[in-house]
Amino acid sequence: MKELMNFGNYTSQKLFRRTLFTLIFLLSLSVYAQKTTVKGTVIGADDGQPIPGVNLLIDGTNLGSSTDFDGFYSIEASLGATIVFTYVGMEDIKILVSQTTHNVVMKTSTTGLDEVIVVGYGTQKKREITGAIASVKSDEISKTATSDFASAIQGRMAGVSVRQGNSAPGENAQITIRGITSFQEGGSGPLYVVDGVTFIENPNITPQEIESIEVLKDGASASIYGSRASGGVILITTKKGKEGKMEVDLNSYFGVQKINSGIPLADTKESLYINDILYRYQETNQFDPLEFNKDGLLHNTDWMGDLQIDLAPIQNHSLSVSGGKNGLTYNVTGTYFNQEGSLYNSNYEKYSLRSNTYFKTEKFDVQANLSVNVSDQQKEPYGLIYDAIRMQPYRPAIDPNTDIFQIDGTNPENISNFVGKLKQESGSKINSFNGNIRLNYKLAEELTFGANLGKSFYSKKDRFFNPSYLVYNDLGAINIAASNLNAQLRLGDGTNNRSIAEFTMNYSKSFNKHNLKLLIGNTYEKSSYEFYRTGADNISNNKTPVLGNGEPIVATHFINMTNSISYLARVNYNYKWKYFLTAVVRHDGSSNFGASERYGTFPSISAAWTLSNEPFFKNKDKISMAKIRFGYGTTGSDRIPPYAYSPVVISNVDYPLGGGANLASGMSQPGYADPNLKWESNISKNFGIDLDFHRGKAGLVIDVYEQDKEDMLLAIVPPISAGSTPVNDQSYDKFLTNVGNLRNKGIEIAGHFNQNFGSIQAKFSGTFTKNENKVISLSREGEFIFGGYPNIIRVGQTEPVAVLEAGYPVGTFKVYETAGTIKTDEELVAYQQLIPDAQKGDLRYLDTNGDGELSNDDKVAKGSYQPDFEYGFTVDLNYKQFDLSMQLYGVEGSTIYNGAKQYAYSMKRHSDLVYSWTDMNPTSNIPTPRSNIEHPNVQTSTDLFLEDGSFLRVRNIILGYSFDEYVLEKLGIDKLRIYLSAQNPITFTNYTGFDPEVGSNNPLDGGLDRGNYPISATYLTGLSISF
Amino acid sequence: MSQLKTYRLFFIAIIFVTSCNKDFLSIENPNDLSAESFWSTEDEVQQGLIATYGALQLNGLLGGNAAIELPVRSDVGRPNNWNANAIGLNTLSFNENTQIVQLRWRDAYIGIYRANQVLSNLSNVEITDNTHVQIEAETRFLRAFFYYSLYKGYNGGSVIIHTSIPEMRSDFYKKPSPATKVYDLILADLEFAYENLPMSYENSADLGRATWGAATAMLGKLHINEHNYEVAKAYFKEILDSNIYALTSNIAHNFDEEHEFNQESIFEVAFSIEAKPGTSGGAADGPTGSEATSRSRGLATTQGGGYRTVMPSYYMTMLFKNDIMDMTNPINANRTGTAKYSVRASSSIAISDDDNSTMYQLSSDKGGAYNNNEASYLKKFQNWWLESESDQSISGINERVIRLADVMLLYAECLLQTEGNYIDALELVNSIRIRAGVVPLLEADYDEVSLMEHIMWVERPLELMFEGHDIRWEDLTRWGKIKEQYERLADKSYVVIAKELHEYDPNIHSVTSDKILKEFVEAFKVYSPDAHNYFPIPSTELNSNPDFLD
Repeated sequence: MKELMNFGNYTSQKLFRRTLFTLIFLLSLSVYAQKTTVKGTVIGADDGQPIPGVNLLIDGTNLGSSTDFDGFYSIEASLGATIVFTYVGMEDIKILVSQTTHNVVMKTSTTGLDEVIVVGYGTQKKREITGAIASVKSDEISKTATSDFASAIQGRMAGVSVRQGNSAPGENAQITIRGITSFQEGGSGPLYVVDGVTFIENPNITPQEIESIEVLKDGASASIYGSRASGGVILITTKKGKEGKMEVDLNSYFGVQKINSGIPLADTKESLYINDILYRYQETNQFDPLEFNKDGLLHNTDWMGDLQIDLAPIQNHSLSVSGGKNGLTYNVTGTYFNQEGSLYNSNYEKYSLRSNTYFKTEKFDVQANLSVNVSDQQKEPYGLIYDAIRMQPYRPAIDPNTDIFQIDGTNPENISNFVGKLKQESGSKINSFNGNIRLNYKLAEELTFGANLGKSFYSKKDRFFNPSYLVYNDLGAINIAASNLNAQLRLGDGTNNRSIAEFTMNYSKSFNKHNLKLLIGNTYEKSSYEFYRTGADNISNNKTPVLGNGEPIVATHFINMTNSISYLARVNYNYKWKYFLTAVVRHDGSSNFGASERYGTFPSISAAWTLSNEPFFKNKDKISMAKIRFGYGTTGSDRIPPYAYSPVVISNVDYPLGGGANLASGMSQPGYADPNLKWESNISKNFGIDLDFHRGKAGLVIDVYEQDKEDMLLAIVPPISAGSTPVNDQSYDKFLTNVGNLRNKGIEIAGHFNQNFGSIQAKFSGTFTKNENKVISLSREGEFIFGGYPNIIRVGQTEPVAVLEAGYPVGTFKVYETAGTIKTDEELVAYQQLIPDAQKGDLRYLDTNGDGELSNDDKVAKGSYQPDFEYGFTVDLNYKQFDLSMQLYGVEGSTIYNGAKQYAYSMKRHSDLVYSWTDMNPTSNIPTPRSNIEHPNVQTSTDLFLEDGSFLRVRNIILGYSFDEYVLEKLGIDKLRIYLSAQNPITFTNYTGFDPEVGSNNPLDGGLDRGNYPISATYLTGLSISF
Repeated sequence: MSQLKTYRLFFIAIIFVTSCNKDFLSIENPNDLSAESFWSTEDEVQQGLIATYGALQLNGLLGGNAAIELPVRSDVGRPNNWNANAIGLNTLSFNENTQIVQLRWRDAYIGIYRANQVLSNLSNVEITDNTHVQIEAETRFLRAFFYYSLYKGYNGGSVIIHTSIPEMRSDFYKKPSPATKVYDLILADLEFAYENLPMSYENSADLGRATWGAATAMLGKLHINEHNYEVAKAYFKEILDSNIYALTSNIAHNFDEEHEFNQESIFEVAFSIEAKPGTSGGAADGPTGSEATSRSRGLATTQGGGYRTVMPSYYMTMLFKNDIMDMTNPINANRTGTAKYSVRASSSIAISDDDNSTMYQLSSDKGGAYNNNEASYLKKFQNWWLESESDQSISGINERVIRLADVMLLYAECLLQTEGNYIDALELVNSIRIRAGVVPLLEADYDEVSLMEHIMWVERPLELMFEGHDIRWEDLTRWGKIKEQYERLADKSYVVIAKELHEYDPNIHSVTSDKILKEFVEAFKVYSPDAHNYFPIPSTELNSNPDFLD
């Protein structure tokens, strides 16, 4: 009741002041105001020290001044005028001139040191932080038009690397924190925690729902999440309401997208010339395209262009309602996102709704979060870019919107398979529901009990429909091989059901400048993933694509369950807010390991010292805050499929003994398992410096770190001679084991600088990330583990190009070195010692070890996709009602494999091949086309297709205009801003393929451009409006 | 008040403690049985043996890929103009990345691993001695069969040997054993099978299991390829003398679905389109696996719904065209019209002017397109009597791996090599020719040398083309005649006029030079026994087994 009274008093005071202010203001307009000199001193609320350089502006004018070195100011102002005091890092102060002296106390704004940072199982003030934690707020996240928050934070946090390997609508970018931390597919991904609920996969939160993202980068910060956290932790806090009047916000944007990169392909004339070169050197099995495509010269089909959609629309509308009173606040946000893809047949639509409510009393505080997501993704046909490369330009273009085709030529299979793919429908629908309730109950003044109960339900339904169609030749005869008589339907259903229960006790006590916080807790998590796939063949009609209209096929079905238990404890201690110490220990148990290796313990310790709070620290005007941090922490990973520690026997390995339909049932052990499978562990060391200059005008955070991973888990392919059976959709032919050690070390720098240029307020910020990744050892001496197949169409017949090998970064390209082509007869004779069937014009491989034969031992390390460094740079400018911001993101020193080029070479479609070696072009180093598509000239494992993948991209340019609040007030609108934005408009790079930003969650595939869905440039217009 | 507080604390402590449940972290795999609890009953080892048979169907062994691609390396097949895999094999530009090179290796080792699972666990199971010996003999026959495929296929016969299940990770990484060791292992396994396998099975449900005859024929093949003609001869003779086997009345019965496991069949790999037809594609194991083979569509004509990836070579086509029918043979009584080609030709390949043949229920010239200078198409082991091959790329025709005609010709070869007995050898050849409906050889025209030439260049290709998939290559390497044959073939020129293939004769054919057709020109140019008699070790093995070369 007392609080309510105060509240009431406060409002009436404010009303009174406002009325008075308005009166005086009006008076001052009508009566010529009397000018006077107003003086005073500006001091900081925290330390009582004067603040130099504070800007003063008389409201409604461009008259201003600033404080001197002692915080003193003097300005000519009329009685009744308002002086606005602004200083970076401090809250603005408005003073109504009522006397000649006004001393001003400025408070640090919430973006400063008292900013609350989410740290996992609680929050800390920024000044208390002892680890390496980066943070990004909603206003920065909302600058990128995307359904994926990961791509919105690219380049915004040092040490947090975001790569968009597949830019198809609805796909998420990969986030890697402080380098590749796992050999496994998906293993380097961070742990996501959304309002206290953990997610191993990207939780796909709608960006508009996010209030802030904190990233726990070092082991000391992350170890509170123990075995889940070896890839770092991303803490997502969603928006909450504030007490006060109900606020309605509408944000909308609409835009168009266009792919502005490509790969040079031969046109009809060039294709025929390449074909001519090919058969100059091959006498048998000659293939004349024009003999079978009589009107081929009339066509010059641009298949790649035909498969791309220019000006594909993208739009997003988000409406939120928030407010609250009497301790109860709410925020409800609904978002609709719709993106048409820039590639044929791809689009994404998502509806999301989040409701967060919060209730606080003296003893209790309760938070309930509910979120519902419904999305529908249509995917472009698999390998579409590679198909577009493969198709010959002398074939007429095809309209896939029919079920009957007339295709001339004698091998129409070639084109009809492609037409069939264009007709395919492939999509997935995701429904997800997440909810949790968090409760804190104050048992005593210092003691709080907390509970967090959450449930997360995720259902993904995949559908693939391959319609039937008929292909006739020019004489009207049906070609059965080219036709698809058998319409097929495949349905997949994956359901993930997770629950989490966490109980914590917090103890907090301050005595004699000692501040102590204790946390103990335990957590239980259950996760169950059930998947089945079924389908039908010979669907009777394309118009009735349901199971009942076809012949059922055999279904697959599996259930993966994982349970885990954790016990955790944390101590936060500081003395006089100068010396900080944090110690954490977590003990985790996971059902993914065998009985003897089930538990792991992950301790950590970190400390910080705020130098600037020491009496000897003199330079407080320039360096307003200086802190050094040190952390040592351990984390682990249990991110493996369940049951992997035990070998299995599979059924259905049958044989039809007895003839005809008789079948004898067989069982077999398809592969191996390591019963001694154990946790992967990670020891992380971090040293950091936080500096604040001129009270937040500029800031610098530098961290250096080293992380040692041991007993890295990887599902390796045992030698083929060990006889594992590959089975569709299963990984029996791989073998999960602890294979080696890995080190990441690096430096991260984040800085910002604010400066006003006249009435232009400018903010510059930048990030720099340099990480060195190195495989320290593998469990077998001299071992190398290959992976990374650039050619997705012919994975089985092409060589992998990346390795794990001690001494090199993960995913280092290890390929044959080549030295141009064989040009003379002498060179040929010499080379035939190595390769007896070599011809002139063949690529010359180097026998680097000189043993007279070519083998893996001759392959050399040729760089990796992991860059030397990456950087981000942002400028935000405000001028009156205008705002302009630009973000740049760059990657330097990354080597990538141009798989699309390799495929175009092997398919004889790359326009380079026009200039390949022939007797008439005897100096060319472009190898002569050969009919064998596994020919050494085009096989994957050479340096021919490696390229520099460095790039600098303009991520965003946004120009906004906010309408005058006085004008809006009349319309009953609080805020209205409209903006224009260009996203990814320009990329500077030497890369000759589609886009150098490639990536994969498989560390050995990360540098492969495999005809990935390329990034589009997007041009948008949007508005945000608040009532 | 303080009591209440204590109570609350107690309540919370209870939550902490009670949730600690030990079983919480023990989860049983609901998807597959654990191997540790398997292999304890007779039924289970029998199922392991069935899985070992199942490996025979795999794509690299007797499944689709091997059936389609292997014949194109030897003189019996030619590729279509655009299939890069087949052209690569045909021009001998295959390498360690070539699909069939990888598949055959992988699939043979899958079979070996399965066989070793049975053999390693057999002694832990309580069964009668007879059952033990029977299971062991069948399994060792199959293991020998897989090793034989590797021994004849790769690296001069020097391949990796596994005779037990690798336990530790280090057990996986093995270096290749010398070819002699591989040979010894195959020999020991086959001899055990030879001594312990039954002549036949009483129960028809066991049709398809390995028999004494299969083991004996394999022993004969193993020895003849080592030029141990005397030993081989004895084994082949045992088969002929056993009176278990006889030539079928019609050669076509060896290539169709209706007459599987017939009197001539010694070892077959069974496929079925009825039992687990599977989805598109070939025989695969596991939950969505299939018991059918994908060979049919790859080899069928456009009219049959296929890709004719590989067709009979021009050489092979001319052999059939020139194989003169014996109109006095009653087998030819029903043959009408101009009746140019034998029953053997009509059931092996489609030639456009074969009046006594149909192809996909059309006349022979309509059953294939005969464009792109194509001269003939494969009918052997194809479903040519249907309207088309299955649109799901599957077929249920069993692959006859060893049949009596093969053994008879090998025995004839042994007779010639060991004792120059061309009289008996000629009789064997003639019994095959008579069944084929072609004119028998006259004793007067042949001696021990010319009969051997006839067997090498006429009879074996005509009778056995596209069978067992690599028989022809095995033959050619045994004889050491690959270079000679490529030279002969590269020298020939052909023309296709009105869908008919002719040897090019400048005096008769007035075609422009670019219509003159050649084959095996590249193969002849590049062939060297060291590089091409065997496949190289596939890159998949080298990349997964760093110890291989050290």
